[in-house]
Amino acid sequence: MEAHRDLVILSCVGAYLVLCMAVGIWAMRRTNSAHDFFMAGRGLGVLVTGMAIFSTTLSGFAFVGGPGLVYAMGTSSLWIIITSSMGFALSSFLIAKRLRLFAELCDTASLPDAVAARYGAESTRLLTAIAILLGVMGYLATQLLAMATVLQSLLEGTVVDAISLHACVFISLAVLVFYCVTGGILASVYTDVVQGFVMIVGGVLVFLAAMASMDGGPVEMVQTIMADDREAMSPWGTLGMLGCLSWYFLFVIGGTGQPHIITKNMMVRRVSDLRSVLPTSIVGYFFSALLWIAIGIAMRALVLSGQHPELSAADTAAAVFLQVFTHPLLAGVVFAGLFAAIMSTGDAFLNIGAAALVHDIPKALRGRVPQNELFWARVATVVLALVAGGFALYSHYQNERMVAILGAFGWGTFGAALAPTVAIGFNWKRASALAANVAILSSLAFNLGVEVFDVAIPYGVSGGAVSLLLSLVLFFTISYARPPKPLDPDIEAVMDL
Amino acid sequence: MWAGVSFGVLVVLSILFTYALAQPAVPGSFGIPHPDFQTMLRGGDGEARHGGMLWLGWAFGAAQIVLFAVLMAFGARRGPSLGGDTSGLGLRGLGWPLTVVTVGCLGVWTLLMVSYGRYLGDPDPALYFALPAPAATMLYLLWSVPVFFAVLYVVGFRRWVYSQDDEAAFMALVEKRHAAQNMPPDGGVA
Repeated sequence: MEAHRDLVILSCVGAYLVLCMAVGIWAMRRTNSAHDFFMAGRGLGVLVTGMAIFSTTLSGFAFVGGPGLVYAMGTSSLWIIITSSMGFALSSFLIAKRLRLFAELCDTASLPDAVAARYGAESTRLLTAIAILLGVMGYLATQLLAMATVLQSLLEGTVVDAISLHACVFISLAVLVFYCVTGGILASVYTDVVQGFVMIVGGVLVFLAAMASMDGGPVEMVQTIMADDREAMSPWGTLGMLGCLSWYFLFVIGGTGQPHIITKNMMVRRVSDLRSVLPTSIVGYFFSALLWIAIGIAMRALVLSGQHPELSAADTAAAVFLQVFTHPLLAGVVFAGLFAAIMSTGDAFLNIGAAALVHDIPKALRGRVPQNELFWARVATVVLALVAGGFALYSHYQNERMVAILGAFGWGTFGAALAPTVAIGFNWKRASALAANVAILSSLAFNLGVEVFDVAIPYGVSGGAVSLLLSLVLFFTISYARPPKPLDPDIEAVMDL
Repeated sequence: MWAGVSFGVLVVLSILFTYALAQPAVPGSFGIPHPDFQTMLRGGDGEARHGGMLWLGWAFGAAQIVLFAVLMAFGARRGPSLGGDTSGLGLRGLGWPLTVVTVGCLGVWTLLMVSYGRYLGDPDPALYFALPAPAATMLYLLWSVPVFFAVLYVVGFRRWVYSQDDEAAFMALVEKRHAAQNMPPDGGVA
């Protein structure tokens, strides 16, 4: 089997991509309206929702960037992982029930719909939709670029050795767009389930392989790293205490403002199902994240001990480990898992982006959605994917900072813009539309400013964390500064439940 | 009340954050290039970069944990408009379990900082499940202890999060709203 390593890996990835397209065809028969397309008709079960939440949370970054960060910086990035238990619990207490109740009471088709119902302000709907759209473009472009780059490296040395990045972006887009256009969010969440299982299996098996990759096992690995640099195995890694704690803050509280994740709570069949969604997400995330920890530590120890040459780049840690230290079949499953991680996040972004474009922005500006909304939702999905693909290629060949800048509109901007607006605002009657608008605008301006002007914050503190703290303080201060406006009695009642 | 407490903790967090950022940074405080491997960083001297700010780190982390717990209480509290028992903090008995788990998390956090302080001065630290004590505390305890918040959510869902009474009140609210939306303009009198 070792002689056919590339073929085995490509077969696993190919089988997975075909499976995704089959799910798209299946879901198309169950998608009859824009509401089905965006909200899955609010009919998702516990397992599907729980798996969709954790697999959407773990993007391609978890399988590529994460192990690379541990390799380069030691334990620092584990702070992003250990936030999961606290973050999922906080999101459940703070917003899961509230969003689901709003979805049913107001028959919402998107997060900005719920925001507009809560604040009674079309300006807040519009700003929420714009923040989502900007974040989606950046995130989606980075995910597509990652997917195409991995595909290109997998195809090297095969019969299509000289395949261009353009072609790989096109193939990636074609699969993603096919099942997102045909099946909408239903295809997205059901492929998330498959993707989640692949990520769990891959995470556990790679963890075991990584622990056995060095004589002496994990103890020898840790001692090797500590002999070189004790701080790399301290709780802070090389980043340092304040940098790590800023990640803890950003990823726990910022998690309550991630639209592609929290909207899944609006799709669950019954409110009471939310109690079982939480443990499903935590357990799934735990097993998948083992890969992030294990590969990073193993590769750092293997390189330091001279058992493997230095990597060409930290981000290649996972790919190199899979190619050199694992069975071809396992490598195939994990590469499929990598595509799963990228696609599960990408499809969620495509869906909320299409909703912002077709449903929310027209509703905010014209007071109504276009006729035949389902058709336009499908068109918007294709357009968004093509624009994101264009951004990805332009960035790769012309301007490397463009996707990085747009990518900064990712977790940090979503967290700073929407954690106050949604997580606090849906629980606090005094919160005002003005405060929400200021929080959204400040997060966009701050995060863009940090990226464009390349601002370095002391101690390696995350710009997203500063932005989140700033927007939360602004949100509370502005809301307290003005007398509260009366709410729709039904909305007030839901906020009291 | 919970909004005020959340805002108060946020203000404390902001003060700590501003104070920390105002301190003169130790060179290489967030990593230095590895002398032998270009793709790696080193942390360097832990005592030099963290020795004088352990208390600040503890306070910063502790304030975050308190904020997370306060926000959970904020999300779980029940308001008065649909009736029912909303006496006290509106938490329907969740206050004590939430406090216990929060104190547990703060205990783990304190253990992490104390063990890190000792780690800085220990030339030959012991390993616990393959990790030095502070990293083991982070990965095995700080990751797992907050799961008890999730346990409270799951086990007490029908008591603290969404009771049968809540469900009945919500269904009545939805029916009333939908009936009002479907009512003809003359109020159905004709």
